[in-house]
Amino acid sequence: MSTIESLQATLAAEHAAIFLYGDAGAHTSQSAEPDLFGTISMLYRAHRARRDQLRLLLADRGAVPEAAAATYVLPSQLATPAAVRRQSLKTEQRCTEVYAALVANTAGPDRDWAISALIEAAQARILLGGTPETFPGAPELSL
Amino acid sequence: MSTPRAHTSRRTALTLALSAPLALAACDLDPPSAAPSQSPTTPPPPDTEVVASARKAILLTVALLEVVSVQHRPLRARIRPLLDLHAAHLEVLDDGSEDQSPEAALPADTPAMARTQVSGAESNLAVTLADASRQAASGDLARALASMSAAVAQRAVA
Repeated sequence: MSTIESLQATLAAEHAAIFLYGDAGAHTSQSAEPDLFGTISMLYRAHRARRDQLRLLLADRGAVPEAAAATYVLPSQLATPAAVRRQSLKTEQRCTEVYAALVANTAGPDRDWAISALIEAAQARILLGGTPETFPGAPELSL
Repeated sequence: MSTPRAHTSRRTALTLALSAPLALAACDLDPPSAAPSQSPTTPPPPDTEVVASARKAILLTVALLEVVSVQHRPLRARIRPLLDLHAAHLEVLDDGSEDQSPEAALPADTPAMARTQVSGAESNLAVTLADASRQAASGDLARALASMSAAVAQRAVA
């Protein structure tokens, strides 16, 4: 996969993450679950920032940044805080894998960006109540 | 979300990183000179130093964790998972070379100070592994090292 293809794949993942966090935020009560709401809001903003950075990285290379899909398949109804956490953990899990792939397909400042994103997403999984992993974003290395 | 590449078997990252130049050397059209050379003609694989420095950093951290866990038994439960993590990382970075056992720093006097010492060592290790990832010529090795850095950084907030 080329660097531009990998950046585009990462941008696509950010679009999806933003959509999913928007849904997660809509199903989280700010008054009843202030910590979870705060975490979801922070991660939503983090993914929006990364989306904007990726757009710039792609535009700097003369590539047209991939647009968000018209819609995304949402998980089943996020009826409880636990369901919101589970879905958010899946979102971050997916993002760690995409960032790790971007590390492999880049060099220099682009790789720096991918490493930082990978570390932040791995830590986000802990904030969401996940358990530490041996190889975040590269689970097959544990096999 | 679309699925990018980069699924690597357990040993592939390091194997690729360390064997590529040898494979390329095997493709040379000119036969080697019959006369033995005074100096090695095959440069070391480009990531040998990266792997060696990453292993050394992990081993130094492990050495500290071990002396702290001997001196401060109450910290053992906290240190055990870190030792397991580093052992898993060392296994992936195993290049077959013999490791020199590094000398650990002296453990801090009190458990509280030792805990801070361990946290500092783990933070430094996460930075070192991220730096190694930046320097790696092999993308697969870079990915593995970045994942190790993320794993260590993850423990800092766990």
